[in-house]
Parts: sequence; structure tokens; C-alpha cells
Amino acid sequence: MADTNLCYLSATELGEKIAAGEISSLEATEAYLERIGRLDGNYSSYITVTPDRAREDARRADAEIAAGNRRGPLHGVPVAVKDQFDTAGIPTTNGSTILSENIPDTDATIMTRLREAGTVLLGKLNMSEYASGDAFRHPYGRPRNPWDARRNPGTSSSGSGAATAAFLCATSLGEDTGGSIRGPAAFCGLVGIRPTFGLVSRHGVFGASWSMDTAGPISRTVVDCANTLETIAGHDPNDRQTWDVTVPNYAASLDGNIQGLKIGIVTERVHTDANDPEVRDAVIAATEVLGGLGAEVREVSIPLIVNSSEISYGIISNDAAMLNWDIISTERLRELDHNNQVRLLMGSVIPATAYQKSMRLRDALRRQILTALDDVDALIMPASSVPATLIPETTGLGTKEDVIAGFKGRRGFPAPFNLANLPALSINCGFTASGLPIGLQIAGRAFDETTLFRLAYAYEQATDWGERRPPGV
Amino acid sequence: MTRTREYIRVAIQLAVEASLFATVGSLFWIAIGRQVVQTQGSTAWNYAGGGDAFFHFFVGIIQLYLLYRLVRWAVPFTARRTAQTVDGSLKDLGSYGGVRERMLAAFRDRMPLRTPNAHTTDAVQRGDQNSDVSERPRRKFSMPAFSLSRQKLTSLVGLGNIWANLRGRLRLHSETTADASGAVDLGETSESVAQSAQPTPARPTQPRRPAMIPQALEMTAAEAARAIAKREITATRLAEACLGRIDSLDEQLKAWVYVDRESVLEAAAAADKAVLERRPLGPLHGVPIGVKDIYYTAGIPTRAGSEVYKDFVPDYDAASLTMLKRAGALMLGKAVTTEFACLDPSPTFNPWNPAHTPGGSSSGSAVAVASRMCPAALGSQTVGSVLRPAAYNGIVGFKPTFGRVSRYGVVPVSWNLDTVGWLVRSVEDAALLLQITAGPDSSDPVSSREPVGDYLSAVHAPSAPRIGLLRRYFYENADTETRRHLDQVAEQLSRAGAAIEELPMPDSIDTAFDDQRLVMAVEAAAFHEPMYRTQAEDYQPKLRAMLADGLATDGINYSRALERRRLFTDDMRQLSARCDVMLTPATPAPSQPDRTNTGDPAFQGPWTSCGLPAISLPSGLAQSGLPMGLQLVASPFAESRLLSAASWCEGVMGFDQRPPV
Repeated sequence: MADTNLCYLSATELGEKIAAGEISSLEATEAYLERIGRLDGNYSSYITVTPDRAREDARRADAEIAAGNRRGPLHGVPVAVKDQFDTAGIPTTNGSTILSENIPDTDATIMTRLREAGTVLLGKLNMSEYASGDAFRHPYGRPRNPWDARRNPGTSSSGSGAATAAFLCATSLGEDTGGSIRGPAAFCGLVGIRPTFGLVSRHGVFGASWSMDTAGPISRTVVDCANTLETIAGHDPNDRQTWDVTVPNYAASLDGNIQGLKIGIVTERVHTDANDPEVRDAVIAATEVLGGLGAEVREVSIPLIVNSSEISYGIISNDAAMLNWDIISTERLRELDHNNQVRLLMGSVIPATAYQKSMRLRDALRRQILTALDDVDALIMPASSVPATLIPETTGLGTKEDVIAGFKGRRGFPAPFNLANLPALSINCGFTASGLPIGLQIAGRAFDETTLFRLAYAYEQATDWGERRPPGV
Repeated sequence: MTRTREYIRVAIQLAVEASLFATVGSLFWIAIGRQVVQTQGSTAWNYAGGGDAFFHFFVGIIQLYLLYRLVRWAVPFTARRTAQTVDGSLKDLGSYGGVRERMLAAFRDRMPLRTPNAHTTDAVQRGDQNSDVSERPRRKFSMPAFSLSRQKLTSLVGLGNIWANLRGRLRLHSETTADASGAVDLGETSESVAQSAQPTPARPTQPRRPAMIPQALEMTAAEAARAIAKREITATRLAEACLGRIDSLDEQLKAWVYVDRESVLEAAAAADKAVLERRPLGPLHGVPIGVKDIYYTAGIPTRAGSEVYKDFVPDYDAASLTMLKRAGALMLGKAVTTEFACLDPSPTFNPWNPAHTPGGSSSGSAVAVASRMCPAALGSQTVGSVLRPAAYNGIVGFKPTFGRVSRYGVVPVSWNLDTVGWLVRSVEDAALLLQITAGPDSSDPVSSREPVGDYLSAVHAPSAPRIGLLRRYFYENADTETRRHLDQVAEQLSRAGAAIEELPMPDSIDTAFDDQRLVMAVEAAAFHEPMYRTQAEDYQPKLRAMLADGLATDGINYSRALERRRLFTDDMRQLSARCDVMLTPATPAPSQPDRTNTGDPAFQGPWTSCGLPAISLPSGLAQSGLPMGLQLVASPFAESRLLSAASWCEGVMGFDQRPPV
């Protein structure tokens, strides 16, 4: 059907067609709303759909474009955002029943920027409770992976992954503290980027860890991802941890030319038994493609990277406990998911000296990564050591041993770059034999998202993984 | 030299002496006695007449002489041995070699031929470059008349040596009485000794300068390096002057934990050799510097002022020390630090007034530099441990931006706060040490890769700065005298051309100091935990309490403190961009007459917390006679701007007071 075909367009293409007058924003919006109504029952990617707001945005966009005022590449394009970002007048639950009645008065800064870019808000997307990747119970419906309904779409921006992959929005926003953008991007075969810490404002975003939280886009194509990031990035006086840097036009430098760029394969993370063999093979094949396109491929070693999970888990749990102290210290704790209760309580009893040792290791790891980036422009490793995991039957955190084992979890793959406050991107680099996407992670220097996009774009153009769609979508 | 070798050497020399005596005696008897026997016809020693009497007399003289030599050697040897034994069992007295030197000096002074005279005094005042016997690099045991070199053989009879030793004894005695240490002869009419016994007068108008500080010790490190390079003074002479100053003062000031005379003098001799051979010289060539006893020094004990580290001897040097040595500096010794550079009181004494605290934790470094025992000393600052003792001692204290100088090889206190710094007597010296030590170090994960500036040029081209005065939290919490003094100084700077305006202080200052103390407690506890768990009783009380607090703190409070600190840092970065340097009093009040603590670091703490570079400059004396200072702070990695402004202020204020020692 023509309408549904609209939904298969990339956000940038859709934006161009809307600007050219071939399609109206309202048409696109109605197409998406219809799809959501029809299909989202399978995926539970939305918590709140906002049809009124969407239509209002769409009509405004159409009027402005008709008047010749195009705001940008995403003008009139329907987007959806993780329910962690404040949206004025629209419930913002942070994935939890505790906040089911929470209706903020003001938009988060990034929502304001999306509005100013003329995007259309389709709704608020499902997520792990309180942005914790461990959460078991999903009060707003269990999100499912469009590639395999028995599997996880990735956490904690689960809805962002599922909705984007199932063509239920043109592009989306997620938030990454410990890997929560790159996980869903990897599990759902999408392009997601965790920008440099301090590039994107956290004002109006529910926090998880004050030294690592970053909002960022999850999209179907690299150009979409670049355009979405450009829309939300930039200094915000309301978030004093944002840097006053100029946000470049990322899409403008995407010409497919990566001649001379040096990429480093992280030995400890590629050639390791922790990886599913198919994941490892796909990543190595991807580096060969990049090499064939003109990039110089090297091996780099970052010894401390194997401990990233332990270092990161203690810090994030503790910070999350700190931010949510008012819940943990009262009876409201019981309203949280079991795994979240465990994690937050554990975080609240971590002694400061243990946290401090994690910080020291974090400094040392950061120094190792920066040293590696002296020799190469980007680092390559899997975004996840395994493809999409099965949705668990039980909480998985039933005993003390489980909790301790949780320290050494798979988050060790995205973790290094949250600890180092560096940008990292995940892009689909193949499928397993059973048809599950595999995510390639590309990380780089602070505020050098351009290099990451360039590499990802060249790879995307040289491969055709994006042509494949999830079954029944 | 080990004791066994010493004994063997003594035995050999005794044997030589005895056999020489026997040989000479025998020769005489063979030559003359036979004659006597032949004359008298018996084997008895019978003499008759004048010739025999003369011979008798002559032999007697020789015997007496040999006996005299024997006694003269035996007595100091015994004194040394006794002193060593005493020294060994009195290690805790602190000043290395102090007891031994005193006893040796005492014995030397009891020897005959001790008459002081005008000739010798002149020699001292000329700053005679030939070191006297007592100061010459001495082997542990020396017996000039009886070692077997040709030179020594020619003085076998000892006549030449008598004159050299006579000269030596006379000169030693004159210097001993002239020094104000009171080590040997308290009650000598030395002007400075008398002065230090009186209460310090208020605001003396003349610079107080004791009569006998050699000019060499007044030089700053940069001046000394230049003088050595131009051969105006030898490194050996300078080192000896420093060592002599330590010998005479450290009994009372207790600034040093470890001084190895021989190594220093060896290093100085090597430095002199390099000068003579016209080899390329580093910017600190031949200059002795003190090192706070938390800096690792290869093969030399590093005790960090604590029982816990009493046996610790590292096997490598701290990176900053390596860099200074590579620039030609000599390590003079390890200076006193409070225990693990924390808050317990210091055993060191303030040379301006021993009843007042010298500040800390870099007490030894500050006191050593202020009392002219060395021109510069390494310190460290976690809260206020460089700039505060500098201010309390009337000298310059410098703390660069966090991460500007490598911390590799320094015993840690607090990961997020510790900063290498130094105590010096001029802004030029501060810049010189920074130029040598600034830069990234792959062994230090927090060291920064910011490009290193040209700090010496900045100092030599000072210009009137735009100064931002900080009233809230700083000025308004200083005591009346300090505030009035700062007003006067600000007036003076303004008249000389500085543009001074008040800057508003953001609210984040309110929690900055408490957050810093929490962070410090936690991070120190994280480091000390293994040792604290097994030997808490070996820690001093204040540090022990802080470690207990740190171990009991939960991660949430620590994380909150770190987050607030992050925001405070951002605020200070923005504030410092509004002027060239920010100005505060160095301390809320001058050093107080209370040695149970090291003073109030409130005015230093925030800058260590947010990592901005800071310098304290002496600016005047309080009613109590103790020094007062001002503190200048600049933006991160803007040390050039900071040093340029400090150099200009230093020139305008013209502070030239010295402690009365």
C-alpha cells in the first residue's frame, strides 16, 4: 500500500520528499499512526502514542513548508523518543509505574530542539524501567525484537530499537549510559550513536549516571542518524556539563571517501572467546570491507578493556542509587521491578572506597583508550558479543551469585566508551545464520563524531545489509 | 666505608707506625748504640757527656712525638666510634649526623693549638673558597699522616700536616662560634643567637639578616644555576654552604629527615667537573634542592613521616625528581612531611617564631627554603599543603594545574586532588621548576597533554594584570589584620597599574570545602585500606580518624560530592576567564602560636579541588612578626599568565624579609 511504503523511506528521504511537496507531512504521519495501531501490539514499542500532537505538528510543518520555510532535513518527519525525556503535557514515565502520572510542564532541551527542527512527535517509546538494562518486568508491555519475537530488542532504549526497526517511526531518540543506544541498535540491525559526553544536553532527561548519561539517535541509515544528532546536539546553558563546541553538519561530510583513515581493531574485544563466533566473523569481515575501501586497518591493544564491565557496573549502580535515593529510601522501592530494586540497593551500599577504586581504573582505562587513539582514528569492536538474546523467563537476579555474575556481564562491550566519555556508534554488519542482526561498534575521539559517521556511511554504501527487513514487517 | 674495613685500616696504620718507630729506633741504636757499647765495653745503655745527652734528648723527642701522634689519632677515632654508637641508638632525634657532628666538634675543640686570631676570622669573612679540613669530603675514617700515598709519605713526620691541621682547627673553631646554632657553645656572644632568644620585635624596618649567612645561600635557584655556569661559585661550595647551614640550624628547626652529605658532595663534585669540562649544562645545574619525604628516591628511605613506611626504600625516583635531576639539580635530602602529607601536626619549627606552626604538610620543605638551607624544595598539595606553609614562612609557594606535572612516584593522598608543587623564594624559580617538570607522562593516568607554555618568558616580561578580587568566602573570612593588609597591598598594586575589580563568587563555593574533605577522606582511605586494616595503631590520630571516616562513607555521598565538585570546577573555570588572575589573601590569618595543627587550609582548598593553578607570594609581616601573603589563581593551564602576573606583583611589593635565624 502506498501509505505503508511511505514508512519504509528513510527519514532523510522522507524529509526531502516532504520538502519537495511530493508527500505531505500529514500523510506520512497518518501512515505511521495507522501502522502503529496495526502492528505495535506485536512489539510493545510505544508507551504513549500522541496522535493529536502528531497531527498538530504535521499540519504546522506542512504549512511552513508550503510557505517556503524549510527548517532542516527533518522538517515534517515523524519521530518518536524514549520515555525518559520530558515532554510538556505528555506523560513521561521513565518506564516505571511510579511515574505513570508524571506529566512535565516543560520540554527537555532536546525535545525543544526537535520541535524547532519541525519534526512530528509520534509518541513516547518503551524502555527498561529507570533506564536499567537489567529490568525484568515491563509494566507497559514487554518490548519484542522485530527480527525474532522471542528475543529482546536490546535495552534500555528497547522501544527505540523495536519501533525504528519495525518502521513504526522514521527515526528515534534513545539514551545511552551503559550501552543503551548501541545495544538496541545492534540487536535490531540499526544505526545508533552514543555521542561524546557533553555534546548533547541532559536537561529534562531522567538521569542514570551523572558522569555518563548521553541522549542520541537510533535510526535506519547513517545519514538519518547524522541528521538527527545534528538536530539535538549543542551547548545548553541549562546543562552545565555540555561543552561549547560548534556542531558540524555531519551529513555534509558523508561522501563515502575514507581513504587514509586509520582504524584499530581492539584485540581483546574482537579475538576473544566471549564473542559468538558469528559475531567475530562478521566484525572481521566488516574491517576487511573498510580496508578495501581505503582505510588502514591495524590491531590495537587496550588491556584494561576486559574489565570494563566491572568498572562500569559499580559506578552506574551507585550513581543511579544516588539519583533515585528518594525512592530507594522509602516504601516506593517496592514499586520498582525486582531487578531494579536489587541493583539500586546494591548500588546504595557500595562503599565510597570501592567506587573510588573504580574511578581510578576508569581514569587508567581512559588513558589507555586515548593512547590507542593517538595511532588510529577509530576503534573497531563488536557492539555486543552476542546477537539478540532470548527474553528471559525469570528475573535472573535471584541469588547473590547472580548479582556478582552481573558485574561481569556483557555490558563490557559498550562500556569502555561510556567510561571514557568518547563517542561510539553501532551499525549493522551482517546477520547470523538464524537471521539475527550483528552490530559493529566504531568508537573515536571526543567530539569527532564526523569520523565515525564517515566510516559507517562508507561501509553502509558498500554493503546491502540495510535492504533486508524483519519478517512480517 | 664499613666498620670492618675501618678496623683493618686502623690496624695496618698502627702496625706501620709501630714498625716505623721500631725501625727508626733500631737504626739509631745500631748506629749510635754500638758506638756507645764499643766505647763503654758493655751492652748496657750507658751514656757519658754532652753528645750522649743530646742523643738521649733527641731519641726522647722522637718517642714523645710518636706517642703524641698515637694519642692524637686515637682520641678522635674513639670519639667517632662513640658518636656512631650514640647516633645509632638515638636515631629518632631526627637531624641526621647532628649528634655525631656535635661530639666530633666538641672533641676537636678540646684539642690544643686552638687560639683564635684575626687572621682566621678574616679568612672566614672572605668566604675562603678552600674548604677547611672539617668540611672537606671526608672518608669515614681519615688519618692524613699515615696513608700510603707519596703525598702522605712526605708528611710522614707530620710537620706539614701539623700546619694544615693547625689552620684547619683554627678555622673550624671560628666558624663554630660564629654560627648561630648553639650546637657547641651556647652563650657565645653571637648576635643572631641572642636575637633568636628574644621575642621577635614587631615590624622591624631593617631586613633581619644574621651576620654569617654566606652570600651563596641567599641566591635563588635560578641565580645559583647562573652563578655556577659562569663559575662564580662552585657547586661544591654551594652544597657545602647548604650542608653547613643544615648542620647549624636543623637541630632547632627539624626540617630534614634525611641528608647524606657524601652523596650530595659527590654529586656536587661531579657537577663541578662537568662545568670545568665545558659540557652542556641544564638550567638547574649544580643547584641543591630539598625533596618532601613523600617523593620516591631510589635507594633512599622514603618514610612519608609515618611509622607505617619506616622501612620503605623505593627503587626508583619520582618522575618530577628525575626531571629536575636531568636538569642538573642535586638532591640535598628528604624534608619533613606530616604523616602521609595529611593533617597531623608537624615536628618542624617555624624559623620566624618557633612557638608558631610552620604550616604543613610540606613543613620541612617550606622551613628549609625560608631558613636558607636550600633555594628550592619539592612539596605537594592536596588541600593547602604548599601555599599555606609558604605563606606562613614568608616564601613563594606554587601549585600548577591538576595534571600539569606528573605525579608518578609520589606517595598518594587523594587521587582526584593531589598536585605536585614547590616552595621557592622567587617567582622566577617557580617558573623555572615548572618549565622543567611540566608535560605529559604516560605513567600517570591523570597527567595532561595540554601543550607546555613558555613560563620563563612570561616571568621575564611581566605586565600589570587585570585582577579579580574574591570577597565572598575568601576576603570576608580573613581576620581583620589580614583584610587590612590585603587592602593596602591591593591599593599598592592598583597604584602601580593593576586593574582590580571585585568578582562575584557563585553559590557552589559554599559546599566546595566540605565536599573536598569528603573526597579526600574517601580517596585516602581507598589507598590506605590494606595498611589501616592491619596496623591502624601505627597511624597518628588525625589521619587515623580521617581514614576511619573515609572507610565508613558510602558511595552515594562520595558520588554526590564528586558531582558537586564537577559543577564547582566548571563555575571556577568560567570565573577565572573574567580576569587575568584572581586575588585572595593567602590564609585567613598568619601562622598562629599553636603547634598542635598546621593551620587553616580553607583558602587553598577550593583551588586544589577544582584544579586551577595558584601561587602564594609573601607580602608583609603581621603584628606578631609572622609573614602574611597573597594568593593568585588563574584559569586551567594558564600558568604563563599566572606567573607573569605574579612576577609583576612580586616586583611591585618588593618583599625582602627573612626569618631571624
